[in-house]
Amino acid sequence: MEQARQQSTRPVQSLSQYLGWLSVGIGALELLAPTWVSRRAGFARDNNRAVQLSGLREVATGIAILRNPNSPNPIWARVAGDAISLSILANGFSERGADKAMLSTASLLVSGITAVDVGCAVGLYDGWGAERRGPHRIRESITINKSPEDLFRFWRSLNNLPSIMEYLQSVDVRDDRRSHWVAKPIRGVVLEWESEVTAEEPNRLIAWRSLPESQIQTEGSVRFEPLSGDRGTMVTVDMQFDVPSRFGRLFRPLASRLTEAATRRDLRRFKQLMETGEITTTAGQSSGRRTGETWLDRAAH
Amino acid sequence: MKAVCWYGKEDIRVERVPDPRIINPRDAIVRITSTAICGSDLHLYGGFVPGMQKGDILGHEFMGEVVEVGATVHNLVVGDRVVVPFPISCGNCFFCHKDLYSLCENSNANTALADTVWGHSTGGIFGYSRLTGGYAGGQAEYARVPFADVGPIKIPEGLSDDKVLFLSDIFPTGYMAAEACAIEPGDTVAIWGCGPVGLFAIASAFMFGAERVIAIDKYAERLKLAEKLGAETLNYDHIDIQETLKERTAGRGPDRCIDAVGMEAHGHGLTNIYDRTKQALMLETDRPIALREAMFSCRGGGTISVPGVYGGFSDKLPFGSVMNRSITIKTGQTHVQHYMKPLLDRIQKGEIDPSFIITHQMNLEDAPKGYKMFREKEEGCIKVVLKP
Repeated sequence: MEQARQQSTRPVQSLSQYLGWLSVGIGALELLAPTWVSRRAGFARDNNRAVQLSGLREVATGIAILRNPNSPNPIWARVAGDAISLSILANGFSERGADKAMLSTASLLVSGITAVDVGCAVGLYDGWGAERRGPHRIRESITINKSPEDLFRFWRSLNNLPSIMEYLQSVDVRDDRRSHWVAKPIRGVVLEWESEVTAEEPNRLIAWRSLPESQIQTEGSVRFEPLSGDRGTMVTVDMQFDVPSRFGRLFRPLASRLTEAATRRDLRRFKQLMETGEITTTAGQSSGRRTGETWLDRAAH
Repeated sequence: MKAVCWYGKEDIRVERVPDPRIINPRDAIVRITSTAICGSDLHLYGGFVPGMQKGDILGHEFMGEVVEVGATVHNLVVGDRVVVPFPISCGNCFFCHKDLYSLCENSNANTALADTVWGHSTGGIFGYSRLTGGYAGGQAEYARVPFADVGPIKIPEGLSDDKVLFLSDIFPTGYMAAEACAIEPGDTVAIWGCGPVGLFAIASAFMFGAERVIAIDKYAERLKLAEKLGAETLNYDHIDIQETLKERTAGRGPDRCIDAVGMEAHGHGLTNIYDRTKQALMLETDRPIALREAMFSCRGGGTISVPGVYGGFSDKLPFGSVMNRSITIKTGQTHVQHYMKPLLDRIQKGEIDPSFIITHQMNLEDAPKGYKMFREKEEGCIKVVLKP
């Protein structure tokens, strides 16, 4: 399957190579004949320095692309450069004596190239480093001032988990092994899956896996290890998950980072509940605001 | 209820806000009878602490009467008169068990922010930005007190608010600073800053057996109080601190140094201009002028104790001097819960009356005036107590 994926991205790779040479070409032109470029684009004044700087950037990204035509990153750098060029062109319209027709043509041309750049970057993303990325793995751990027995007992009653996991709506325990999970990771998105316990060592470990027909593929484990002295128990969650759609894959770095942060928060809440008997919060407290919670409260958790 | 709310740099207002309510089973609601403006509130007032939002209720020094308790609070009943410590602590975690209450692992609801800014988060503090949990503070008519079965201390009949209010922060803070110095008989202790914490540090240093205390400030009223407590005083507006400390300690330097100033220090000369410029350009969050002086001045093998509040990053600290001269640095937000009972005992025995620092009593409505007055040190202002 990996091979098939790589083959399917081969035309995109040649497109990226083409974009690399285009970058170098345009860059060279801007570096060597800035006045000509400036006038052809329709600017009223010659801004040679800006054009030459842009040329330098073009050459640099061009070389970066040609050195590694499989990577989407330098293509994303091109997209960023396109955005800068477009804003410079937009500025040109307000100059007195600007050739608006020429500026419009130039803007249209750059917009077109931007679209090609974005398409190429997205296309490359699918194939690039797929084998390295694999399904996403998360590992988070925390120290809790309780015995492994107490912690294991709480976790093994899977329907306790929604009280500590912020995105989890419900867990319905079907039998000793199987359970049905419902999560709402973002507004308007409901994920449901069937999970089964694949391994269990009393007071030490619980491992689970989603069943093959599930909406998301996930497997993981939680381990409870006693620590020396009176330090309590180290709780470690290992998880991997895969989001199936192409869209999902594009946003996977973001999704995995969010999941990682959410797992960290969930473990914090687990600790709070087990150690203090309640979950720490400021939600619902008084303030001189009509809406209590601010963006920073949501971001800071 | 009425509450003192933060709206931006030098913009605080007394607003009508909803009354607090019990949110968790270990909460209590306290009707506040006295609350004070702390020097560290001035860092918020000046806009030096990140993580504030418009409408946040300020204040972490307060006391009052319990009016409601959560389902699992068994040590308090409605009507109890309590002083509330400024750190919020669960009493169950690793750090609380070690009596390091201000490092409580469970009381900060906004750990991600502190994890980023400080590497690890600390416990929660009332009314002190989202770095320390984003809790509503106690400069108000009522406050929600989380983990009320751990923090608040009951006050026996017959002790006035003014005598016990400062158990919430500044008395334990000055005391812990002096304790951390590990003062030995015959020691000379130099204390930068004669604000409320500095003054309590002076009193406490003598309790721990200091031979001499040299107190540094520039405000005449504060220096006068320091003298009353038995300290020699230096006005940094008129003399070179380093030279003078050397002279007064026969060339060796003070055995123990306390920086009761913190991140908004004032000074003279090039370093002052350097810090002010960097802070204005947001290249440095703190101006560690007092700390630098303490590092240079302290005798070899001595101790520097830092109760003064720092927020983020400090530049040009002479760490070479600290390392090569075997200096110990002790610091931390005060673990108030650990000190409340023994210090209440001292007050009851008449060993100290903490109300000596109060210069102004005001209505809660006058808080904006109180902040400005305290910041500008108008009318000899040393400590403002607000009565809701």
